[in-house]
Amino acid sequence: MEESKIVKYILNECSKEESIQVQEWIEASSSNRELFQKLERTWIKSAAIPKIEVDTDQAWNTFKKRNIRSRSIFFNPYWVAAAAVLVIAMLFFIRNQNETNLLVLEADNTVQNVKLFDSSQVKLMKGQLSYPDKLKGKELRVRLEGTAFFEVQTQKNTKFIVETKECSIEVLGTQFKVENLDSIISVSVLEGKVAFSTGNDGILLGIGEKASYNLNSKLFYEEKVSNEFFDLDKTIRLDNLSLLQVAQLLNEQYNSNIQVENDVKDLTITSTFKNESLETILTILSSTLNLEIDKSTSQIILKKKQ
Amino acid sequence: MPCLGSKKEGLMNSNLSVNNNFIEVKDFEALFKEWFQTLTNYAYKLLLDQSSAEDAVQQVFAKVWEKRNQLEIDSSVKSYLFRATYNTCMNELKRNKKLNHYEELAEKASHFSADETARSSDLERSIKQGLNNLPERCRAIFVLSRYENLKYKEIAHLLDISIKTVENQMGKALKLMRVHLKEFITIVLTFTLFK
Repeated sequence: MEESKIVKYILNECSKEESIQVQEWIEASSSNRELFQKLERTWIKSAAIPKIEVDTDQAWNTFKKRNIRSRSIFFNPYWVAAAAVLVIAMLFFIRNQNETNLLVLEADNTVQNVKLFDSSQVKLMKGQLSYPDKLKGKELRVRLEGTAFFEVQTQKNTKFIVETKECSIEVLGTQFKVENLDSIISVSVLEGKVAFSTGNDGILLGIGEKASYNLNSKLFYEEKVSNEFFDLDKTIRLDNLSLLQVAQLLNEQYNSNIQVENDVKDLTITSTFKNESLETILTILSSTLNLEIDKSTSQIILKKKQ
Repeated sequence: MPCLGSKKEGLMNSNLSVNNNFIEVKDFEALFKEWFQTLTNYAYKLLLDQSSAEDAVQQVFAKVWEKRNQLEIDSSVKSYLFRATYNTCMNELKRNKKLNHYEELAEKASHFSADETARSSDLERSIKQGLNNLPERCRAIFVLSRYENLKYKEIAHLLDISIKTVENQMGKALKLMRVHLKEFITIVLTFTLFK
């Protein structure tokens, strides 16, 4: 007889049939009985292990310390779900806040003034300017097709960049003008500094400086100080210019017709006239250079004083 | 959906309440306190070391706590916990074997500390040695039957094995235990023979 069957009998797991079978086997011989008794005694004797005593409260404290941090509020999925919804809503809100809209300003015949969100001012003389309504990242990029004067409120940690065609003008100072003339882009600086560049090449411009970029030749040209800003600041800057150049400049700005006689056309002058009438400027020039102003014809002729 | 506490087998009652589908800490505490002693005793007979046994049962509850809201127990809490304890202890034994600590553990089991030796009777020591020498699965089955008083059917269900396997393992277990308890049995047997 298999021992497992005898054990089954001892443990009262046998069916009636099996029980009868085992009982018959036990009665069959004394050695059978002996084996049965040995197994039965083993079963009975093996119970004699005292139960170990455990401090359940102590165990629970250990468990709590290891596994349950604070109160179950953090583990309550309702709270977790609510917090998640809140976080998502906030992210959505912040994202929306950061979503910038591009505004477009156009100037056909009249000059358009616009104040950007960072309080920088743009005077759009010709063409189109697109600019964002909010700051996104650390750069404020505006796009210009045409001519405009910028008065930038420089902000720490924020770059102001004007993009035009293939060039960009990064503002390091405050006031400058950008012009688009067919294949020429010109930048003149009234105040501060700008970096005028394409991807590969560039030029730094300071106060009163001007540079042009030729889109065909892909070259930068530095230009002499000009009076780009006359219509803005009513200032004529004369930096070692010949009298002929001065006459041309005045004619341009004041829409006048000044002519210079040959014997005085190479006289040079350096001066600045701020908010002066043509009359006053001519008077100052003539007294400085010892000239005579002839207004007898429709022209104004500058000649050597006799 | 957690269904702790549902019973198909009706092995034993549990106080665990399911509240709003979430197990509260106080419910869990009740569950812990109800079963910790019992499970530790079971684990002790598998690992034969009290602190290892307590650690194993702590692990079992940590796992239950971690998964308390996804837990699906389709039988009873009792069988779930016993099965988890059994698995944890078996892993512990395997790990110890791998770390070559098995011998150390076995030694611990056979040469108990002086204090324990003093407290335990010769019979008790022999039983522990016998248990220690049973193959792991055989030991787990024997312990459930002997000390937890489970029926074969319940053991089979608990360990996800056939009743036939339980029968065979129980036969094997008693055969092996008999060798260790020989001296305590012979005396009784002599007595019966003279009767």
